[in-house]
Amino acid sequence: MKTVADLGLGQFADRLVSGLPIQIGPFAARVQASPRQLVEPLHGLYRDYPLLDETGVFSFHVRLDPHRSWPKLYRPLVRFSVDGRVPHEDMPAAQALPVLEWGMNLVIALRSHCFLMLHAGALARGGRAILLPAAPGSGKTTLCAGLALRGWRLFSDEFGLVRPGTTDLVPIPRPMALKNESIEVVRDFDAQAYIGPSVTNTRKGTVAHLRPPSDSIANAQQTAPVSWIVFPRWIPGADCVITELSKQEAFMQLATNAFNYELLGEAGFETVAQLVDRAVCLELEYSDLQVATDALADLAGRDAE
Amino acid sequence: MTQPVKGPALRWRSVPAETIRWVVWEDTHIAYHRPSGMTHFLNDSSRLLIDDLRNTPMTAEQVAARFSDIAAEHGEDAVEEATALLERFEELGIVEQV
Repeated sequence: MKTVADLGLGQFADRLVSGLPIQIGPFAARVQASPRQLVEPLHGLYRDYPLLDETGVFSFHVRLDPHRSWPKLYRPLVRFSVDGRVPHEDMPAAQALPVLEWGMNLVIALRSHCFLMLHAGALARGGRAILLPAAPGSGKTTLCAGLALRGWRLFSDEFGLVRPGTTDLVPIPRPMALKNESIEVVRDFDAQAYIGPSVTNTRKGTVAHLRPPSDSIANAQQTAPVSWIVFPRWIPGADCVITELSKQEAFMQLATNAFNYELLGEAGFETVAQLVDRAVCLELEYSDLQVATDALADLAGRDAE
Repeated sequence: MTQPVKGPALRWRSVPAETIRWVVWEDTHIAYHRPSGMTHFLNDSSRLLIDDLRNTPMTAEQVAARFSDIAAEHGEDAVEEATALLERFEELGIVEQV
C-alpha cells in the first residue's frame, strides 16, 4: 500500500491543497490544508500513513484555511472546519499545525461513540495492551512517547478506544503533542526521534509533535486485549513506584476518564467492568522517563512469564 | 377531644431485580441503575439491606433493628438514620415505598 512517503514534497503539497486521503486507525480521513508552512512538517509527521483512494467514503473531511477578519485584518488567522462546519473560533496562523492536530482530536472525540472512549494513552507489547488513563498534566503523553520510542506499539497518546462488549483496544496512532519541558525530555531520551517544529504561545504553551513509530502505523488495523491498566502520575523528584490498585477504585477512576461513559449507558458500564476485571490495575508514580519505561517493560516481561 | 389516628408505618421494598445490574469486587458493590443510567457504589451492609428488602418489605424501625451496625453506630438515632438511608435509596430508585 502506498504511503505519504511515496509522494515527493511537491506532490504532497498539491494533494494537501486538494485534499489528502489517508487512513488514521479506524478512520478514513480527508485532510485539506492550504497554509504553506504546514507542508514540510505534515509530510514528515504523516510519512508512514497509508494513502487512500480519493473516490472512497471518508469518516470525516477536515480543512485548515487562511482567514482574516475585521477589524484586525493585519492579524493572519487560520480557520479549522470539519465537513463544512466551523466548530471553534479562528486561531493565529502561526499555530496552524497544533490547530489542525487538535481539530482532528475534536472530530475523533465527537464522532467515535461506537467506541468507549477513554482519556488514556494506549500501547501494546507482545500482543498485550496497556491503558494509561490520566488527567491532563499527569505526564501521559510523555510516558507514551517514551514507551513508543522503546519498542511498544503506539495505539494513541490521547484516546483509548474500546469496542463495547470487548476488552480489545483499537489503534488510532497520531502524532503526539509534546508540551513545554517534555519536548526536551523526549529529545534527550531519544536523539533520533522525529519531532516537528516547536510552536509557541498556544493555549497549552509550547507544543511540538512526535512522529509515531513506523510499525505503529503499519499495524494500526490490529487490535490487542488490555492486560494492564496503569494510572500514571508524574511527580517532580519522585521515585518510580508501582502499586496495585483495587478493582473498585480502578473502576471508579476508569469510568471517570471515559469521555462517553454516560452516553453509552449500560454498554459503557459493562465495558469498563470487563476491562477492570480482566486487567492488572496499578498506579505509577515517577519522575524519570527512562526509569518509568524500564519499570513498565519489566512489568510486561514479568507478566508474560 | 379525638385522638389523632396513627396510620400504618411506611414500608419500603427493593425495586425489581432486573432494574439493577451489579458488579462486585471485595466489599464494594457497584450498581448500574438501568432506568436512570446512574452508577452507584455501595458497601456490604447496603447490599445486604437491598437484598433483604427484595424478599420482605420493612419499616425504618425494622431496618434499624435488623442491622445491628446501624444501631451500634447511631444508638437512639438509629431509626432516624435508617429512615434517611431508605429515603436516599428511594431517591436513587433502588427502593420504593409500599
